[in-house]
Amino acid sequence: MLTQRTMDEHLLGYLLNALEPEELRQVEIWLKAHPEGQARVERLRQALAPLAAERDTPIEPPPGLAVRTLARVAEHICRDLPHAPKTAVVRSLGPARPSWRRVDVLIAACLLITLLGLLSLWLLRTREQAGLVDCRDSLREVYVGLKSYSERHQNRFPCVSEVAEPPRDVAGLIIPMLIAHGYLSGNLRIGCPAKTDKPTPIPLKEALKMEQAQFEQQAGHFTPCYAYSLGYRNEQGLVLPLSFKPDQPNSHLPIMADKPGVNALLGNSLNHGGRGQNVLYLDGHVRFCTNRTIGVDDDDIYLNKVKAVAAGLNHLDTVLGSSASRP
Amino acid sequence: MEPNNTLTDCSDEELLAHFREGRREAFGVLLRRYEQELYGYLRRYLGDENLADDVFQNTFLQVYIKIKTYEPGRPVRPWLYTIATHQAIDAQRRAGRQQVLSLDQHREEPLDGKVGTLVALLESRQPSPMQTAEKEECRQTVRQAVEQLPCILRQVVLLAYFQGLKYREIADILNIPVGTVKSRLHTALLKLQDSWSAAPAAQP
Repeated sequence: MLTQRTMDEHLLGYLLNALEPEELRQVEIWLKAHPEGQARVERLRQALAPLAAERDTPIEPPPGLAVRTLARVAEHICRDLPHAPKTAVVRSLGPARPSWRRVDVLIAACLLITLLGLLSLWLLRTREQAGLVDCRDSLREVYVGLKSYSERHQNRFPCVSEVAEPPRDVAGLIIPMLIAHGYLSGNLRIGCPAKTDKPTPIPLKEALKMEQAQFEQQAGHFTPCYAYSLGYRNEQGLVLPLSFKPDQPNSHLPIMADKPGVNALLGNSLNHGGRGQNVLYLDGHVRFCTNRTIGVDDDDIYLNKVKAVAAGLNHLDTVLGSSASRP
Repeated sequence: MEPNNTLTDCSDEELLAHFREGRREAFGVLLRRYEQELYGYLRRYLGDENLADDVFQNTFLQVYIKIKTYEPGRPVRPWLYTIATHQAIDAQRRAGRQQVLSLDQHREEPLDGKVGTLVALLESRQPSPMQTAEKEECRQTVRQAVEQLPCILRQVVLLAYFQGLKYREIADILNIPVGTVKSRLHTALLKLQDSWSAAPAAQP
């Protein structure tokens, strides 16, 4: 006769689906013959209930565990093989057997190649992430200068058309202007940290003294990696800058971002491999956006409402122009 | 790497068969497939992230080394758990963490007497937005109770309840009779109930 404990052991297995098919069948027969057994099953289920929360909380493996595991296997393959155990040596008239068989070399090579591939991907990804973070920090640093400027100009941010007269009113002179007037440090690197070329910022005076032909040639290099707001036109056609106003969606109005791709009409910035762009908003926060229609009402941040790289048609029509762009 | 797309549809047994035949990428697919499950098991078993990381790596190193001894068609999952459990036991022995079970604490008392306490515990822990922190504390209590179980009891709880293995598979993994598996699981549940009832946080 089964004791209660023994029956509980079977019922536990029944609850956990841990029984073999024949055992399961026997328990089901017993339960049908002993209706009170269901109450015991229920009590056992309740006894197990506290474990459910822990079981239902998955434990994530640490990052890179699979790569490290492959590395350990590869290391094992590549190190010296242990000495063969001392056994009776059978003399052979044939050639000596090599310590590494061809298949061992092949497996080792393929595992190493796989490992190198995984490591490369991981390094690339890590580098990309670091570049994104550095770029974001760079934009925040520029924002400090922009904000300082706005606080001295009735909450108006710098306007491209006010830095220089046409045809030298290009977006790329905003940062040299901020440096020239002490709103930003001259040590600021104006290239996106994710890119390899980071030229020193050209002094504003030097840029304005250039012959026009040279200016046109160099305009794209004044702020090579970033795009700045081209402002918007009012009803009279005047180009006005963005302003910080409490009654407008400042957290949705971009003022600066990674520059658009080669074709400004479509696609993301290429600064981060085309996956998206860091965007600096009027309120100072930076967000990485995987597409470019992230202005107010899904506005394209690199084109105005009539799909032109020019000043916006109203204050909510964001247009961020690359270094050589004009309102 | 095109072949990986077809390998991901393979069963565990097929993957090992492919690996034995020389398809190296099958090893990586198996590794990825069991990464979370096996690491979670080892993390709960060993109670230490770094140790679990190390033992996980050693487990698959052993899989690589012992692939020639794997019998084609043999269920892979219990085989992996066998290797992982042995590696965990070895690691604990090296770290000097083995616990000795006192079988004198084994009781014949039915579970009924303790169920009421557990149910009360659950009722006092009804989760709500305001009590999310208490629910997390309860989960931590449960986790600690499991980690504090003697090793041979913790093994069966983890394998049966958390990893969902059958009694016969657990018996093979631990190289003990099926009856011993059942008995240890029952004893483990009694001890867990004692732990939960004694936890200060359990007091209503």
